[in-house]
Amino acid sequence: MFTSGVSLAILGAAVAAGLAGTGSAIGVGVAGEAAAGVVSEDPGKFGLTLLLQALPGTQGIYGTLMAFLVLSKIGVIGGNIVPIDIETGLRLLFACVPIGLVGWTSGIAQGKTCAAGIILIAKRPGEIAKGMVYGAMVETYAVLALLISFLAYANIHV
Amino acid sequence: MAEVVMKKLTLAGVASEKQRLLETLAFCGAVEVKNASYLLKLEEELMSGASMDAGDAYALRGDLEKLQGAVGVLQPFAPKKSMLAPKPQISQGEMQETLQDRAAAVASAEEVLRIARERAAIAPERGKMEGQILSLSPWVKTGLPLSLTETKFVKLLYGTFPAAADLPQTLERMEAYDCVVNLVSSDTNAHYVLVLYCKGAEEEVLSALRELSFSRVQLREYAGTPAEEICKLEKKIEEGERLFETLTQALAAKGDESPAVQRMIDSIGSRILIEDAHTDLMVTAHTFFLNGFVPETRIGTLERALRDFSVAYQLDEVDPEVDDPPVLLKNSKLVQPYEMVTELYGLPLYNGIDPTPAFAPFFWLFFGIMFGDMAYGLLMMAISGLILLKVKPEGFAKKLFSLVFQGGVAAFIIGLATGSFFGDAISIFSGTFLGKAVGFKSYFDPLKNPMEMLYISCVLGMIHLLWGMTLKFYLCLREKDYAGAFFDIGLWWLLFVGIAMFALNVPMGRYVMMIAAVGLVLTQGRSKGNIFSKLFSGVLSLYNITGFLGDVLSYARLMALMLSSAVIASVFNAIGVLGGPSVIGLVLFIVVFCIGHFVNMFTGGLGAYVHASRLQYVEFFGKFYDSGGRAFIPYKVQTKYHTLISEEEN
Repeated sequence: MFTSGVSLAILGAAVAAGLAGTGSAIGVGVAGEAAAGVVSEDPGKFGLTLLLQALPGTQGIYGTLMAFLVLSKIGVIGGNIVPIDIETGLRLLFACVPIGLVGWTSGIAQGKTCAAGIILIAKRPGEIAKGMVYGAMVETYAVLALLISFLAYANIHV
Repeated sequence: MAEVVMKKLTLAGVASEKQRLLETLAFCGAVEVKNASYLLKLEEELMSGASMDAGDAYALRGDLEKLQGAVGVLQPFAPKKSMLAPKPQISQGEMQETLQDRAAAVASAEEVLRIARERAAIAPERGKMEGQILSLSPWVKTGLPLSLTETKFVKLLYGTFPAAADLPQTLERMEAYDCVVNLVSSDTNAHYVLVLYCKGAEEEVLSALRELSFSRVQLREYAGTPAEEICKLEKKIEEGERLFETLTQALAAKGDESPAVQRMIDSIGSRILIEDAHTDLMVTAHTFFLNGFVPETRIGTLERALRDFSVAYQLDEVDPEVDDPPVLLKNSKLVQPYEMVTELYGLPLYNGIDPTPAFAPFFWLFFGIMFGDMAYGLLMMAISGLILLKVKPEGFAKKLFSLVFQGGVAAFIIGLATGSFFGDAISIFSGTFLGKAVGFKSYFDPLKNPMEMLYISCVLGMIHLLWGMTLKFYLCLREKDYAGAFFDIGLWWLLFVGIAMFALNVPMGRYVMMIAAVGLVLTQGRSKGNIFSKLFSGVLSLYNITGFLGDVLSYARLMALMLSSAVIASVFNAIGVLGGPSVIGLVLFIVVFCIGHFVNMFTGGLGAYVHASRLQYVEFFGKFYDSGGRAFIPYKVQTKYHTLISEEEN
């Protein structure tokens, strides 16, 4: 089916950026819905709610990061595509799976947590730090997944 | 560690000085006044004849509301100020002077509000008249005065047929009746017709019209011909416009008063504070009684303030169990900004420990690692430095911007080590547009040495966690809980030492590890009842070792965020140079560069702040910190538009 590993590596980049980006998009969306509701009552809370809405956006960044690293390793970014074998392509693909999957699920979960945090600051704007920490608790797993993806990637030589 | 000792203030004075004393205290801001009503219940007999004082801030609040409304109205007309201009200063004496013009200021504010109301009513009125013109214009061609609704034998009826109706057929059908249907005009909505019918045939005509979906139009409110009426309305609209202009000019003329109104608002605010303070006092016919808390550092200020009053007062030690004293943190200027991080989590208990100096260096370093970039750091320093110097914010804002400034320093230093300036912007830019890649020297590239960076992160984490345990150890010793100190902390340290020795193949390591583990099994269940649950909790406590591992691994976020902000920066740089070395390419680069790095600074900076906080709150505070203290809120005049200066300094 595949004669070279390049397409597999690109699939890996797509998994990383695509799934993690989906998670972030849903997460930021959910948080944004809650934020708009709060701001409809008190427009002065725009800045605070925006901080919380931005938090679930990092999974998409982590995914993009992995995708970019993979694409530049095989030369899709930069111009000269390196012909890699199927084994290497599969390795790069698998390296992208952790951040893709966990970025997707944790982005959604973090979005919900941040939406709850936004409701929290609707009543108690002084407690924004706590709302942020709840969100950061979820993000830990995206960070760990990125770590594994990156370590796997860093040890694949083309 | 760094909490100010509180003293309990008990003060009695003569009623004639009450007002002046409350004023003085409000401007010296050394006391937190405590409501005295609890004393009435506490010592009922002693307190017979005493009652709670009453303040009268009702009228003041009413005035304040009007003035605030006026400031809102005048805001677009107020003299323009630079965003960086510091707030004007005001002193106690100036406030008192200002208050003498209160009646005039309120009257002026009422006038402003009246003008604003009148001005705001013009637009809806105009909308209504425009609607009327629209409804009159189809009838212009009739030329008949609208007051004419009937003659001796004939009635006039204005109305419409639906636009979809087949008009010739409709008109033809109406010919059978004793009436004339005149088509006046048509548009996409309807056909406008004037029906003249003999009074005798009214019923047949009306029912025939109904069948043809005729709908009547009411124009009874008008007298003249449609053209005359439209002309009248247009004139009125014009008048409205002129009035709007006049009123706007009137407001603009009052725009200069805006600073004076703001001055009055702050002055009245101080008066309300003082009036409200009365409700915390207890009074008899000739005396008053006040109690509260004074931080030890402000006793001097208080004593100077009380010098020219004939009052009796004493300062006692507080009993944290009974008095519920407030908490005021005290740290060096360098550490002060980090109090913000503590405050957002929750203040320590009164007799607890202020964690701020303990975590401040770690917060600073972690932020720097996660956001390490020379350019980002310089920008942060420049913006916050400018605000600190020019606007001179106070309180929370001052701490925030100082924190941003220090974070900028950290980011700059780490950026210097990694050679990052807007990521790899310089080498990419010079490589593309100048033909030769130059850039800052990188002493440590996390992208090339990810494992090293991971080790560094975890080692920093271990130091941070062990430091937290050390503080717990100290707290246990302070509470004289020696068992807790040595069994709960000491044995864990021993276990870590053993593991480290084992990992480094030191021969005794295995035994040190086992001794510590057995010690933990034997001691960790010591609060439990019977021997089995003691042993069971002891064994279970060894499971905490995975918890510690999890905590250490959590610091991997230092590396992950460091990588992500660096890689995202280089992604934007790489996209920027896709246009190649041409003028269009340069424009593309500038656009992508500005947007991309702005986004990365926002998300990266926010992420670094949130995660630096989280590592304190969850990993570090979890080891030793108890929050739950109540902030010291001094009885002090608060100003919104001015900086309050004390008279002593003048």
